[in-house]
Amino acid sequence: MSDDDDLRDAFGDDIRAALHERARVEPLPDVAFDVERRNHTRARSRVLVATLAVAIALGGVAVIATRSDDTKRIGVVTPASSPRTSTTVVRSGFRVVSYHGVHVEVPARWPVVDGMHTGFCTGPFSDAPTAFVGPQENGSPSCPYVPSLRDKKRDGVRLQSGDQPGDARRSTTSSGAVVFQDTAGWKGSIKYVWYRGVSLTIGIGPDVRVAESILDSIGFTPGAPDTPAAGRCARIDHPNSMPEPERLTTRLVLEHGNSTLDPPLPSDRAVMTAAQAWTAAGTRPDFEHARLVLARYSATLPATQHADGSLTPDHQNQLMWIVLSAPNSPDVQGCGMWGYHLFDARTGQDLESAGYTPGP
Amino acid sequence: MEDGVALQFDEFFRTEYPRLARVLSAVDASAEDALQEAFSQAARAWKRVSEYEDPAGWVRHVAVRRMLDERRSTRRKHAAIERLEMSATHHLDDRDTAIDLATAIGRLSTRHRIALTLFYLGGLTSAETGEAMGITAGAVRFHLDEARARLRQLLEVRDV
Repeated sequence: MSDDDDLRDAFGDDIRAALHERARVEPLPDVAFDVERRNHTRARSRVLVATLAVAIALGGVAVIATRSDDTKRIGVVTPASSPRTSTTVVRSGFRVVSYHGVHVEVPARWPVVDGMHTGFCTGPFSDAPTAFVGPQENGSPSCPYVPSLRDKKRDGVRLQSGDQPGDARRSTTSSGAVVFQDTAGWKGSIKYVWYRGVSLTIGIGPDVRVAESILDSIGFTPGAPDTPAAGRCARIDHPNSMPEPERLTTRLVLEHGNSTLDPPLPSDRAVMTAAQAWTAAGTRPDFEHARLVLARYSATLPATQHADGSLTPDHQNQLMWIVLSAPNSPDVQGCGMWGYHLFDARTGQDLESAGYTPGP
Repeated sequence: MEDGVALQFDEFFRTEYPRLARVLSAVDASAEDALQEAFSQAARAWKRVSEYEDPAGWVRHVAVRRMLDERRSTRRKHAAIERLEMSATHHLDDRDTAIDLATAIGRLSTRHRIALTLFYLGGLTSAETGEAMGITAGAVRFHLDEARARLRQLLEVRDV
């Protein structure tokens, strides 16, 4: 009996039946559905059928190697609980990577890269060992379905802000740092460690001693600057401050041709205020900036598909408030996306939000 | 998109959309948006996606990740969650009305609901569920255990 079979018991059958009830559908048949049955599934299925090929390349990692010194000495102001002495000697062939005062030693050949370029689909690390600093805040990309790559053993480390979960195990490294570790131990391909408000993700490569040495090198220097990282994504101070609302004056073509914004007619008046639209769009990331535009919006997609297969675009020449966003570092791939968030300017209805890359 | 490619996608859509919609709609009201967005992405990159070993698995993965993705949460998702919570609260406040299992599932976290839905309703293995959710099979079983324990707890409250 497999582990899964243990969970497929009588209670599992009850859960399955309850899920059917939530879905308000009949059990899945073994054969494919035809169009008529599909139409019964949804009263109004907003069918997104592609009529244009748009190459969206997400998640390209811009890893820029940086040269590092083979050996350094760094001064360490030692807090009472620090395991380090006042001066730490970095081993030959290693370099120090620091984030929010927490530092580790990694092989000197590893580049230090902005955490925004940490991998998504097949784990955080690539075949080129890298030290990442800072969070990965890009939205989840669409990932190829390649299960075998996810658990591949790769070296690497990422430092970002974060506190340990409740079930983390307290332990002391050989260097004397009291850290929290995940309960998985050294199995698998990733080791999670927390220390002084920093979350460390350590890749367990083919030689586990590399990862173990990173863990054992953990230290803390209050006020130490973050290690400069390649591929840095520029941040702005007040991403949620509303920009000056504007009436569009020239046509804009977005999303590789799918969407078009035209200037509003002189007589066009929005019922929804600019401030309402901005608030409704929600909080904004600091690695993107935004415009707030009143315009007439048209798009090929989404569209409603009729019984004969023809399509009617959902939005044509519709007066909208549009929050247009763009990366602060457009030349660095992986620093956010171009995107828009649409609000019907007459009804205030939240209609669509989309992100896309590369380019506007 | 070339005609042949468009036709192939259309067939894929006709076959897979209802299957996936039937399963994922058990999670919550955000499923439809997530699924349509996933199919939209598949359509845009169909030439590439169609060559994957399991295009439907890819769409499921994209949809689930979309549902889990906090940053892309729109007001629609929040509104959907609020509706679910209000629904659950309504039932809980009315002690004369027993919570049924379907209502109790609505009180679980999104992550738990997705794990339950893919595993029990979708019939996926824990490994396949993990692939869709971006977590390990062990983590899926952990979520399933947690979700089942929480459900039992909610149902016990009902029985009292």
